[in-house]
Amino acid sequence: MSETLGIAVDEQRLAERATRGDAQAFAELVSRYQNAVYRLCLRYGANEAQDLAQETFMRAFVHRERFDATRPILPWLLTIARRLCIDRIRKHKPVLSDDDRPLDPADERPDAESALATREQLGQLKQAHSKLADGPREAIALYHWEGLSYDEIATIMRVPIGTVMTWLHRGRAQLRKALEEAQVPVAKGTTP
Amino acid sequence: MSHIDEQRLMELALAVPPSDHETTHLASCPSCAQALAAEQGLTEWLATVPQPLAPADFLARVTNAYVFALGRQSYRAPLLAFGGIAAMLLPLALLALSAWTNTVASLSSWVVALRALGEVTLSLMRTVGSPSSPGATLIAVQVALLLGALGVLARLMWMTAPTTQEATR
Ligand SMILES: [Zn+2]
Repeated sequence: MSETLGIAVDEQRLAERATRGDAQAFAELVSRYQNAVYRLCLRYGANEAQDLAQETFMRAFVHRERFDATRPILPWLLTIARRLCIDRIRKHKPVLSDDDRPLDPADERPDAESALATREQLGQLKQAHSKLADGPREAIALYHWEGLSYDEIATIMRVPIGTVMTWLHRGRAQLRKALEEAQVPVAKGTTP
Repeated sequence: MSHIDEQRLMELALAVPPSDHETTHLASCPSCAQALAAEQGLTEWLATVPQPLAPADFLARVTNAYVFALGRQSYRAPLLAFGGIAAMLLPLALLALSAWTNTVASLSSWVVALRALGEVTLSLMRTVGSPSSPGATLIAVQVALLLGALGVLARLMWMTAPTTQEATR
């Protein structure tokens, strides 16, 4: 608990320094959250995920007076990123969807566990995830991959917490079904 | 005894501790135990999915954009203040001049002055409304200065006109 509080205070200090023009503090914040922001942009099928992620950080800086310093930064950044992605999708249809995007080993985390996992099975899970509707897909990604709470996800997605729970449940049921259909064993202790 | 519902099984798989009643039920109900194991399995699977990372040059790119934005902001604020004050002082100076040189200022000179003042205010308001555009700030300040200068010029021409007429008489 005190560790979480420590991170929040540290984050708040960094944010204050960044808004006063401290490039080092800004770079520290970007390096902490760039992956989560970039991934969200990718999930929305945005062809220009990198541009949108960059715009997210710049918007956050320009509209820094709107940031509530008592709350964590990541949900605020992801709220901005999501809005940008949705606006962009409305303007132009994405050229490359998540379904088409190949799994590039060069841009993935070199994790010992995932190195052992069969690529095919993980690819099936990832593909099934990318085919979910926006709500369940984001609820799963933000909860399982970005480590956000139901409350934070509800803020980002602008829905009640109950909807986040329903999305998580529905999305997970669809993923389980997809894995079962692909004959991937889905019981505790069966991960590669 | 009723089974544990699916959403609750998901919560248990997401590390919510089961109640005593649920623990007892799970120990005696193979169906619920199996469903929970499937939920827990999915959680483990999701944890192993590799995640893409932002490109290597992303941090440098964003930091450069930030430094650039900072540079624009640092010259914009004093420019806006200086330009705004200067532009507003010009029509005010005209009004003062008008009051000092004439017992009664003509209506047209007051109209010119007030109009210039209004234009200045509007331009500055528009500029403040678009803080991300330093170009707009420059244009607004220049327009305001021009209007102020035109106001002064018009007033001076009006002042010199009767003198010329008197000389020709
Ligand atoms: Zn049962």
